[in-house]
Amino acid sequence: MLPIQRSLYIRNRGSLNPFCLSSFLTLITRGKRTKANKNGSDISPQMQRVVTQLSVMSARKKQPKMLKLSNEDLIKHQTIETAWSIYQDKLNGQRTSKLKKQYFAIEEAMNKLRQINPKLFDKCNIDESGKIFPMELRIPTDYPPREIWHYNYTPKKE
Amino acid sequence: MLRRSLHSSVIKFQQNEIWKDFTKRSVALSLRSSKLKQSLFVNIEANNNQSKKGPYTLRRKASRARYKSPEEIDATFKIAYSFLQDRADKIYSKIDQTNDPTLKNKLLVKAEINNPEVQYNFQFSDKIDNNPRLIDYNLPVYRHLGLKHWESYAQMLLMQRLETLHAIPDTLPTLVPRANVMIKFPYSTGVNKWIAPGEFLSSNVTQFEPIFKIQEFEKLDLATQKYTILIVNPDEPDLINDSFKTTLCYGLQNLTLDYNDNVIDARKFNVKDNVLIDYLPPVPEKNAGQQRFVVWVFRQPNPTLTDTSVIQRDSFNIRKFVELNQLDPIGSHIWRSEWDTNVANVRKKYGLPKGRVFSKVRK
Amino acid sequence: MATKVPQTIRAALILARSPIVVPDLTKFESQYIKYKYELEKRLMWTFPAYYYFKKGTMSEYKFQIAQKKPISKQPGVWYPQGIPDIRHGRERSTKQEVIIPKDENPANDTSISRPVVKNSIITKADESNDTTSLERQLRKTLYLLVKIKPNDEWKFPSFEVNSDYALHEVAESGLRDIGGSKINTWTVSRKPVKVLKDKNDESLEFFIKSRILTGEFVPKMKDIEFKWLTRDEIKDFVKKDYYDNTEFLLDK
Repeated sequence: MLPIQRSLYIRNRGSLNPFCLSSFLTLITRGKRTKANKNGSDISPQMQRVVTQLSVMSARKKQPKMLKLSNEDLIKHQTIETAWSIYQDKLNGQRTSKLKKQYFAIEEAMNKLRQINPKLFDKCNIDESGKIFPMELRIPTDYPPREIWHYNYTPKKE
Repeated sequence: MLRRSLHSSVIKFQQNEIWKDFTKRSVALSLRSSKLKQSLFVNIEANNNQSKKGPYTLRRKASRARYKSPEEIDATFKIAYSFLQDRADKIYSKIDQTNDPTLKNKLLVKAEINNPEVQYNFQFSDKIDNNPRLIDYNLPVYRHLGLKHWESYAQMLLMQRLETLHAIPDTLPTLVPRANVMIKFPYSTGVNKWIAPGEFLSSNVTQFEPIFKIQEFEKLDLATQKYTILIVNPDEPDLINDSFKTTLCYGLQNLTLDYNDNVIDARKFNVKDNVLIDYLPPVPEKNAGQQRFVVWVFRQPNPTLTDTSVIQRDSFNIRKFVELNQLDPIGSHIWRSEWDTNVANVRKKYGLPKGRVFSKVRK
Repeated sequence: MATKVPQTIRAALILARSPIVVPDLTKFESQYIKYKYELEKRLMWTFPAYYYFKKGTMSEYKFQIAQKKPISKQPGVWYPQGIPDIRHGRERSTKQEVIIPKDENPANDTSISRPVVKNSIITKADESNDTTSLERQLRKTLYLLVKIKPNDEWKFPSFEVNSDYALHEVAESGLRDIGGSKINTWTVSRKPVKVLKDKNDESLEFFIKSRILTGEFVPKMKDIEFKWLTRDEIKDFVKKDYYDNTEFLLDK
């Protein structure tokens, strides 16, 4: 087979590929109204459903106008964005420095423990990787539940 | 500082409105037009008794009527502005405590770079032929912004042109560009155009000397700093050696600059003190090829040049000259010339001998 | 090197009740979020109503009559605020407001679309400032502070380690000894988070972090006093250097 023929073959395949959205939609929806199908394009309801699904996912006729800002509004927007990023950097810095302090405190505590009581140190130094948060630990929500705290608890009898 | 407050709708800051205070700060750090200032700092709480609705920068009434601002932008901008101003205030207090000049410069930049008025002034005014009321290159902020702007495009373009045209290393070995050098030929045709590096210029355009604009971005003592400008042509045919030789086209020395007033034209120098060698226009010979004319700008270590003995028109050794005088190349520019029918007229004007005509094919 | 002096080891417990409600946003954060949301709405694709409400159905009719119609483009009309550009019933130069039609049938009040009744974040315990309650300060983390004898100082519960048990086991069992067994906790880690040298070099206190999940602290002995306090409130109760040394271990 000649290489030219092969590329033509591939190109045609591409346009019929359902993942090439625009060409597929136009191919299917641009049905002419003829005497045979007076109500428009003659495609099966299943095909129509597929077409609707794809059109929902495409941007055609759904994109709003491009946002064009005046000079003042552009400067205002830039100021807002820089202020936000500086604020976020500050928060991240605070978080990182706190974590660092905590890490060094753990290191100091473990080193001291190893120095003072090696047996106890070994008991504490067991690998805990794979430990996960318990199911009962509630994730904070926007508003509290009706029963804010559960007081009924009896420990398991072993 | 913004504290995570529980239920306060009004935040109490201990605020010093540093960006509205011009007792210690330059006026160039503010907007010039009061109406523009009003448009930018819209007071959303007060009644908007503006007779003209819409943004001030949109001049046509129809465009102003059509324009829709993003929602919540004014309220958000107000909070963001006070946050940044607060931060700038702290930086200014730090500046008062330090003595280190480089740190002071850095902090002055940091304090003003987020100021929306400064950003507006820089983004929407002419950066090259700058109005000092709007962009004052004496201030570290504007120098920093100017430097970033230059580095983002024009500096890269210049280096690309110098390298592809092999101006480096054919003249000087390399260049670390620190100043923006711009050239113009206003005397020849009256056309007001900054030349792009590597442009082909006709002999008519280049028949009279160019003027230079040298924009420095670093913190220097410009009162005492002197500059040297050389224009060299490395493509003059040298038949004896079957190669090319460098011709010195133009030479100026002991020039002073300012951050804003930095155009070197006939008003800025005199023949006695500043002219090393007179301007010789490009007069390329037919079939001798394209000639590059490289402009070099140097910072002098001393108020006067120590050794000008090497200065000669023909077979000029630029590297030796630079070495002898310990010159520091800070910027460069380049244009190209070719033979055209007007070259003969230029030669006549300057009393130069008739040019040779080379054959197209080497015999 | 001095000879090793056998020091008494103590295991202290930092018992935290994590927040029940998300933290309050600062004015800057809430305003910025509002601004970004407005921008997002302005730049959002038009709602594909034709997909969710099929043409000719009753629900589609109800939906369409509930929507605000944009100004249509008519020939010969002067539009000072810009000529309308409408696609799929949406004016392209503005944000789209999708109005969900209200259900007129009162029987459907149990449906998922009925309005949400939000519970108050400020509880009774907040109003009465009951510092022993776990239902106070729902936005913040509460830490258990204990005063064992009346002349003692307020601090995190601390227990002596003398047996062969690990630090976290000592801390957890000690907590149950003073606070009753009806406390459900989860230990964050067996490893101590901080070591504090006691004045006069009497003992070394190793802190273990833990979280209370359910249950409550009921003091077993009469003299024991306890409080559940936030990080900022602890500052006022505890000694200055004790607070300075442990403050970074605590969350807001």
